[in-house]
Amino acid sequence: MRNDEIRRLWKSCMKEHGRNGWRIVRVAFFLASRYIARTSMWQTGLVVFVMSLTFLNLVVVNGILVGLIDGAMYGFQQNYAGDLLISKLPEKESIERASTIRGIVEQNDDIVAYSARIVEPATIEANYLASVSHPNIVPDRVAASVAGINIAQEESVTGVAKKLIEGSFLTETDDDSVVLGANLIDRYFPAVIGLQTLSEVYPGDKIRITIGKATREFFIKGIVKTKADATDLRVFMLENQLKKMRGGLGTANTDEFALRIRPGKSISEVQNDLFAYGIGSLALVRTTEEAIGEFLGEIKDTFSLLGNIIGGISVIVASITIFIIIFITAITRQKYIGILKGIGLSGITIELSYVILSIFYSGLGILIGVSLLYGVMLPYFKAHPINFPFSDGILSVTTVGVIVRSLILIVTTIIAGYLPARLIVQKNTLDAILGR
Amino acid sequence: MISGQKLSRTFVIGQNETHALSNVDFSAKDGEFVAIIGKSGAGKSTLMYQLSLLDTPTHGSVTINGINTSTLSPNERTKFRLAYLGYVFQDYALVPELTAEENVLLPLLMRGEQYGYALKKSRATLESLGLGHRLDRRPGRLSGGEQQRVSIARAITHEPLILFADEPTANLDTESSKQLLSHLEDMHKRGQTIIMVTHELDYAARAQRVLELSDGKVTREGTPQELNLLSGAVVR
Repeated sequence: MRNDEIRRLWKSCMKEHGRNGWRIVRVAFFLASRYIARTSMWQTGLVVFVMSLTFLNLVVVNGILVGLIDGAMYGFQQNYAGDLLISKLPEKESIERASTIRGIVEQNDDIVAYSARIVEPATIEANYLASVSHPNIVPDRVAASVAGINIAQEESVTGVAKKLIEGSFLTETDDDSVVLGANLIDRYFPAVIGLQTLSEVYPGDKIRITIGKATREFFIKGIVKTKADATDLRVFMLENQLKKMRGGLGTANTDEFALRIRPGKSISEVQNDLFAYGIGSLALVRTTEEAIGEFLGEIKDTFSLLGNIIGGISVIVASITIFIIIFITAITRQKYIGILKGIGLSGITIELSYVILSIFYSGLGILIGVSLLYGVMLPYFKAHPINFPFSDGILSVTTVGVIVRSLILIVTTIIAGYLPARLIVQKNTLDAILGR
Repeated sequence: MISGQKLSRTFVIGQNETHALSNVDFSAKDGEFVAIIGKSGAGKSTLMYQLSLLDTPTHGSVTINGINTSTLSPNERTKFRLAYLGYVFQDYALVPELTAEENVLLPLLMRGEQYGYALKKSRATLESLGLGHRLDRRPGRLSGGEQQRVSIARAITHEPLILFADEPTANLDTESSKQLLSHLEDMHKRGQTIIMVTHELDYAARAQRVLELSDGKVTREGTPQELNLLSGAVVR
């Protein structure tokens, strides 16, 4: 080759930056793929296992903590509030123009069911017969809300009738019976300071209910436990019986409408439709989140933060694992890295091969984690919710959450893989070859 | 053509300075086979590292075919090595996870050749060195002589301007060493420029020109006949 020809070739070689990028990726992938294929399966398996656990820790811990609150909210929605809850304004005795609201609700095609309830504060007494014959026995007495319901409507909105733990639910002819919420009874909800419960009451027993000046005896027909306090602290009776007790004025005295919205329909859209009819000036129209109050929302945020902190720690542990693995891999192959540089492979090519290795470890770990999550854990937790006192804990996982956490893990491992590789690759080529 | 002008290399360890190379001038014409000999610590490998751009001299410069390499950045030196130089290392220096043919095709891939072409060429090169039956073997399953031939194949498959060989026979038995030297001679006959470091005078005698170093300086230079190299002798 003549000198001027070599110089020309050299100049053209130096100008080939554009093609260089693709070349680097191709060779880096070639090196990484051969390393993965021919290195110890145990080493690869161990690192991938750690990455899978990290991913699950990142998603599941957060998911369970948030799921406790989501479970409580879900229970509140399913067993009490429905998708939308219309209730009386704070300063009013009951919902104004309830019959008008009922008409609007019935005409809205997106509302597939509703339950209109009358709610009255009451005093519930049990064991009062024993106190007659034994004056030293003080009857149990608790303050509670009594809900007058239409059984068919209630059944179409909530699953209360299916949450019986003792006895049976009301029928249309149960004029002298009530169903008690489990949290009114001490064997289900041991009394705490400032909160009274009824002891030794069972289906078939009689209790005395006082609403205003009216007092009446009822048989306990069943006991219901939903883990939604709003329901479990209530007494249910037939709507017409409650009206009789308080001298009712028909539908004008409705205190709550729990609405079920057509599946797939936006709840806030229906809420806005109701506001458009002017219901907002007659009653509160709230979603589950709004009705349950800020308290649970704040707990959810706190639990989410806690889950993220725990997940963050696991990400740090995973990145340290990757750092150590790549560092040891690179340092034991220092000589070969030097040789690769010696024969003309650029430092960035070798660094990229280790980054690809890290992406492979985390990517496969995430893939296995996602498979376990969607294939095993989510169906399992759905079928077997975690039994917490205040909710049936579900695994609260969103696709966006999974994607974001996967990206966090991948980015972290890329950095954790790149740093040690760069540390070794930047070493003087000859020193690396000679092991100095 | 390659030339080194006033090449010096000083290593500083703590407060001690070691002059591994002092004001060495070197040149080799295109197609020439030059052997560098000397005792251990004479500076022969250090000289080869400066000439092959694996190291940077403390003073002096290396010019290859008119290009002053001292003006090149580290990245440009890497590209230059890839484009124009080939290396055979003493301990073969093959990547253990790659098969023989994959080790050989690596420089071709890095030069931007298509995988299929690179594979074909690496196979042809290995076959020319008598390794056609060892293509898919990884280094751990090859003998020392076979590994060194793979190393040569990797060094020449991209047709470098200059082939550097650092003690290529150091870890080989006599038979393998002779085979290797025959391959180097064949390449030289085909016009390949070769610069070989060796401490075995018998092998140095097969070069066109010999440079002897002692204490980092050139002490003798000439043809093997002029230097009266004895067959079978070894410089210790």
